[in-house]
Amino acid sequence: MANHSADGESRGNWIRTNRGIGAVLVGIVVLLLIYLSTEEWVYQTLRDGFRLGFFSVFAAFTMLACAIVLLFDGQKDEVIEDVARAGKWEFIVPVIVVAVCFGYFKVAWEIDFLLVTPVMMAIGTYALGVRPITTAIIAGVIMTITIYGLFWAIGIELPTNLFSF
Amino acid sequence: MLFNVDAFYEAVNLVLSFETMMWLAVGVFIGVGVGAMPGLSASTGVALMLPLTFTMGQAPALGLLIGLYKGAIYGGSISAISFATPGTSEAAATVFDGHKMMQAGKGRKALLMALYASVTADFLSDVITVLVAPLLALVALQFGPSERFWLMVLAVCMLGALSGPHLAKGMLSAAIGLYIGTIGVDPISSVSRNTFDLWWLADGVHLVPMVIGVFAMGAMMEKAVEMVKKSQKASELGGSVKQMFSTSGEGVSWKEYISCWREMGIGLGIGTFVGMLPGLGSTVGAFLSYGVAKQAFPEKKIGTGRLEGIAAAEAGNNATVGPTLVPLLAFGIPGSAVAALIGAALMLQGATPGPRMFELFPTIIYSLFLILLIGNIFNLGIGRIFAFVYAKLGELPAPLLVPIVMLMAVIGSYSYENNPYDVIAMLFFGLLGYFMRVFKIPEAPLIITFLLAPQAEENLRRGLLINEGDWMAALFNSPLAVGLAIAVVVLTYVSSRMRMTERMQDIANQEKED
Repeated sequence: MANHSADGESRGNWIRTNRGIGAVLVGIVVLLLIYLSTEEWVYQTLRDGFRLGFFSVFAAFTMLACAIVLLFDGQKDEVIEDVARAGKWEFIVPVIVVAVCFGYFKVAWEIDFLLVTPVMMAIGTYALGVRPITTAIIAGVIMTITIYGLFWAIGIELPTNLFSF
Repeated sequence: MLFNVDAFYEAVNLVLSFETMMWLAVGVFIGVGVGAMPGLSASTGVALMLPLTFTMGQAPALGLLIGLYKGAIYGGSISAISFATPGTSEAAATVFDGHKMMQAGKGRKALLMALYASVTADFLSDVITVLVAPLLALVALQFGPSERFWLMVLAVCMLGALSGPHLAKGMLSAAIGLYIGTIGVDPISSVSRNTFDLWWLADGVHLVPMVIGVFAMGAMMEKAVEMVKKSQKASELGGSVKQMFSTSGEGVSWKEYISCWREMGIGLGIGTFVGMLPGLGSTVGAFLSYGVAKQAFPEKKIGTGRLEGIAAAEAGNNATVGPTLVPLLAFGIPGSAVAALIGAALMLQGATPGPRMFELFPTIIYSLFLILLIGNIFNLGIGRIFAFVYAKLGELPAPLLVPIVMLMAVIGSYSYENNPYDVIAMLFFGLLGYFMRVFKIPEAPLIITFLLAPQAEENLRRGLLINEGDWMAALFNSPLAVGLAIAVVVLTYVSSRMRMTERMQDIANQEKED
C-alpha cells in the first residue's frame, strides 16, 4: 500500500527511493555529528565517570547507521507512493502552515483571540476550499466560539484584550 | 503490594463522581467522532486533549483520555462500514465485510455488530489487564538498574522492529527520540547539554508540544497538502447511509450476537496478546484476528459481507485498548503511542508510571482500572445512540477539520506552560512529524524512546555507580540482565522477520481480489 517496487534509478528518480532518502539523512546526521564534535559538553566527564555526551553521540551514530542501512538494504530501490507523487507543494504548504500558525499566535495573543481567530479561521477554511465565503465566515465564528467555550469550561483563559468578559 | 481497601474506596468515590463521569462521557463522545472522521486517529485526539487535562483532577483526566481512546478505536468502524473509508487504520479490516453489508442494505446491522463486538472484547480484555498488570508489576519490582535498562532497550528494539514495514526506519525513529531525549539537563547530575545554545532548551523539550506537533500538526500538514493539490468535493450522502438513520432498520438479534462468539473470542485472545507487546498495536490485532477467523471457519465465508468478519476485526482492535497499558503500568514502558500519551498525562498529574505506582499511588491505579471497565458502558451507550449520527461525520469537509485541529494545536501547546517557545517547538515537531509521515517513518518509536531516554540513562548510570564504573558489571550483573540482553538481539531479529505489515497487506490484497 505504502511502498511499491520500482526501479527509481532507471526513471531518474533516484532521490525519491529509500536510497535517496537515506543519502539525505546521512548528510543531515553527519552535520549533527560535526556539531557534536565541536561542543565541549560532549567530552565533559561527570563525577560518576560518565561522559555527558554519551547518549547524544550514541543516538547520532545509531541514526547514521540506520541511514546507511537505508542506502544498502533490500528495500533500497523502493519508492514510497507519497514521495513518488511529491512536488513543490509538499514543501511549500508545510512552510506556509508554520508561518501562518506562528503569525496567528503572535497576533491573536497580542490583540484579541476572539477578534483574530474568526478572521483566521475564515481565511483558512476558504483557502482550503470552503465555498461560498459566507459559509467560511460563519464556520470561522462558530469554531472560535466553540473552542473558546471549551477552554473556558476547563479553566484555561484565552487572551481577550478587547472583548473581556 | 496487597489490595488496598481504603485506596479502592477512594477510587470508587473519585470515579463515580459527577465530574469524572461527565469527562468520561465527553471523552467517549469526542473519541467516537474522532474515530469516525477519516484523517484523525486516536493518538491525534489524545494528543490534542492532553493539555485540557492540566486543570483536572487525576480521575477526570484519565476519564477523558481513556474514554477518547476507547471511543476512537470503535469509531473508526463507522466510516469503514458507511463509506469503505476506515476512519482509523485499526478499522481497515472492518471494511471487507462491513461495507459489503452496507451495500446490501444491512448497514445498521453491521454498525451494531461492530459496536457489540468492540465493547465485549474491550471489556473482557480490560478484566485481563486488571488481573495481569499487578502480577507483572510484582515481578518488575525485583529488577535492578541493569535489568530495567535492558528491558527498556528490549522494548525500544521491538518497537523499532514492529512499528512499520522497514526495520531501519523504525530504529531511526527511535534514535531520533533518544537524541531529543538528551536535550536539556542530564537526569543524575542536572548538567545542561545539547541545547544548541538556545536558553529555552535548557529545560529540555517539553512532551506536550512535541506530541501535539508530531501527531496532530504533522497529520494536518499532510491533509493540507492533499487539499491544496486536489480540490475537495463533498461527497453526497448516499441513499444507503440514509437508511441507517431509520430506526426501523434491521438490528442485531441476541442469536446473531451469540453466533459470533468464536470470532469475538479469537479477537479477544489475539488483541489482548498483541496489545501487551510493544510496537504491534490495534491495526495488527484487527488484521490478525480477521485473518485467523477467516482461515479457522471457511464455511462461514468471512469476507463476503458477514457479521462474523466484523466481529473478529472489531474485537481484535478493541481488545488491545486495555492491554496496551500493561507494559506501561507494570514496567513503566509504554507499548504504543497512545499508552505513551496516557503515561504522559499520569506524569503531568505527578505520578510516574511503573511498578512502584501500585504502592505509591494505588488510588490512581484503581481509578484507572475502574475507568477502563466503566468506559465500556459509555462506549456502548453513546455508540448505540449516536453511531448513525456519527456516520455523517465522515462527510465533514476536511477544510473545516484542518483549521480546527491546527488552532487546537497552537492553543494546546501554549496553554501547557503559557510559554511561546512551546508553540515554536510544536511547529518544529509538526514539520518533523509531517516529513516522517511522507517518508513512512513510524512516529511511535520516537515518542516512546523520548519518554524512556531519561529513565534508561538513569538506570545505566545507577548501575555504573553501584559497580564503581565497571561497564561489564553494570550491564551484565545478573543472569536475568544477560538473558534480557540476549533477548534484545533475538527478539529484534525475530520480530523484524515476522513482517507483520506485509502479512496485513497480503490479507488486504486477498480481500480486494476476492
